[in-house]
Amino acid sequence: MRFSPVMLLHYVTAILILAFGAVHLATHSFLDPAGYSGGIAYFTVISHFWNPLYAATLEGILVTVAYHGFNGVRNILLEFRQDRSWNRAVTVLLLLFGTVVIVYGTRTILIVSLGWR
Amino acid sequence: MRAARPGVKRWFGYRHLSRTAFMMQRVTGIGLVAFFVLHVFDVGNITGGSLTWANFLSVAETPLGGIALILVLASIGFHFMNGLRLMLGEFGVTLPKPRRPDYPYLPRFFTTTQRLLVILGAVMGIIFALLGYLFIFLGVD
Repeated sequence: MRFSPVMLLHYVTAILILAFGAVHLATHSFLDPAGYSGGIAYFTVISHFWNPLYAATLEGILVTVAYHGFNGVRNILLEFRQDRSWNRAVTVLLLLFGTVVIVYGTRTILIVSLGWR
Repeated sequence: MRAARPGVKRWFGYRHLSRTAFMMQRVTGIGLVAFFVLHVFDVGNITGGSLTWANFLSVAETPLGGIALILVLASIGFHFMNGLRLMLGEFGVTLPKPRRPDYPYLPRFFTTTQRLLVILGAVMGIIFALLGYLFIFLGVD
């Protein structure tokens, strides 16, 4: 069976989100001895960011969710109208918005995990 | 007869579990994308220091914030399981063998396995929501 590379990546990112998301949710809930409230306190969150493995997980979740989410929105929008200009406008706009989100998220991860602040 | 125009309105108004799952996948997906974008920009507050973070938490930790998080968790549970069903279907795993269409031409793609996976998605959503309630409101860790 053949898939378009865009949709194949949609499925691959779905599996990756499952792995990264499980680590993210577990870290801020039952794996944290301080519980949910303590787990989102400033110094607890900062200390999570300082762990390079967790920082890499955050970057992974950021990129995969951005791709999966914005590609999903693109699929929905392309269902509404099928012509070349609409297709191009939707793709370019979502690509730009997705890039802004990834750049902003990466900036946060770098600033906190490398102690630039 | 005029062809039906595609649009958000057409997601609703069908009484079949497969159509309800289709609508729910889209609604939860859009909700999760909105949450994701907000979450990325909200967490960015941490670069402003402990006071900025505390201000952000004072909004996020209200009962309304908690309810929103529980809805997000429920959406994750359903979207994940229904997405798995769609992926399996795409690979032909849960689909029946092709056969000649006979009257009354009932849809055959929606097998018992597919139906069970949609129901499992709803159950996952409820379980995720309950876990969220336990962690967020009851402070269970």
